[in-house]
Amino acid sequence: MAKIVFIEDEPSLQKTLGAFLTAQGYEVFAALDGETGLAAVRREHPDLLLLDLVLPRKHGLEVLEDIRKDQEIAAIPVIVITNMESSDAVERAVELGAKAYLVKTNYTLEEVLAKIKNVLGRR
Amino acid sequence: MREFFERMNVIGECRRSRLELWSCPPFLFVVMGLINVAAMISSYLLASRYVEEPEAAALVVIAVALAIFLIGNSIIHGFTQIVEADRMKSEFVAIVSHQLRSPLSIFKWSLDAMADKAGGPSGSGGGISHPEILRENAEKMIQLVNVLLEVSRIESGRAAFRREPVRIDELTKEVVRFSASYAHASAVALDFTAPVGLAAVRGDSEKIKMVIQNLVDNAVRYSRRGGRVAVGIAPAGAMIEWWISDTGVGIPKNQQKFIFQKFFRLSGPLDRQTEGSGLGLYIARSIVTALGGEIGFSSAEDKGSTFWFRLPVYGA
Repeated sequence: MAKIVFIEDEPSLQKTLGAFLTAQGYEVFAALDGETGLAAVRREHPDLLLLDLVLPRKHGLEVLEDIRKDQEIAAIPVIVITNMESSDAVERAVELGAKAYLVKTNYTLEEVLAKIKNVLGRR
Repeated sequence: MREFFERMNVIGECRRSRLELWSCPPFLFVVMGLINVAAMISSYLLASRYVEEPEAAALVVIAVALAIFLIGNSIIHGFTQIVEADRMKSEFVAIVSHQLRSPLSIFKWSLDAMADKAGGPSGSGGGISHPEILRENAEKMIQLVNVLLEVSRIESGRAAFRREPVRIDELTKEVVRFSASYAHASAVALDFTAPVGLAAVRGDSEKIKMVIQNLVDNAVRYSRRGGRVAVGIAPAGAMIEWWISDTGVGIPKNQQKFIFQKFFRLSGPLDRQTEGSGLGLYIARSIVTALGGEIGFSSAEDKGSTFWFRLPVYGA
């Protein structure tokens, strides 16, 4: 079953989406900040990373930069999932190879799931 | 017609835009106009009386030109202030919208998950209590809105403060207990040992709690994993001093003087990593000073910060 690392600093969102994905049969590893999340990615080598941008201790874009620099994990597909709508951040995330960019309030859980399936299916 | 007269009331207009008279463009324009008129009349009088001394009239004209130049400068400065305030407000609206989005997306997803659960086999399971999550986040949203209202009350001078005996050691215990899980999740040690037999301060317990909560949140938020935050309280003459020290990122020297300003947030390597509204310290300072206390901090970049406040002992 596909393995997903989910980095999100808002515990409630993490629980809700995490539980939803677990119920869909994914193996979810959650982290509350950038540093712990990056460590989880290095440890777990997931099939997908769900990444929030505004994170304590390491911004999501920096996590993304670090991942792309590390040969071991550079190929892991990333979906950026955030409530920020700054075009700079979107551009930078796309430059760094994010497969999709979701604004949380604009997506239902089912729609998030569809995106995840889509990205996992493309691999 | 009425509008025209209302516009003529420049002093009222300056008050409404919260500008000092001497940096308020509408008022300064009127002053400039009056100076102009006075200057013309006096040059006419001077010129007609001292026909043989044109230098006198020339001097008046130069003095007037200088005065107008100076006032013009103040006018431009006034406009810059207005533009800056406007920019900060827009930025603030963006920040607040982003912050409100967070609980809103939680509402949306929790409701999705509940509907999904009710709907059948796909189920979102996980044994989490969605009503609990919804309640928590409704609370968060209420708090954020309260902060905004507090700012608007402070701004308009309508904030009311009680003057009751307040045990800040008890308040601190409450806040530390409340923040323990957040500190734990951030791998930051949060220590507080309450001193014995501490006197009560004079103030408003709700508001002081807001100050303490704010300073504790900041200290944990700006700490690195494995960091340490220590809170202490001690009598200091007729005041009681409360402080909090962290081993966090510290505040760069060039930003220290802005730290209590409204909407200010640390910029630099950390600016994108925190979600503060830029109002916490502004509110904290407004509350502490309104209660007759003092607030301050010392900080070294990469070493950490200590924030403190003092409030008068009740009955002292």
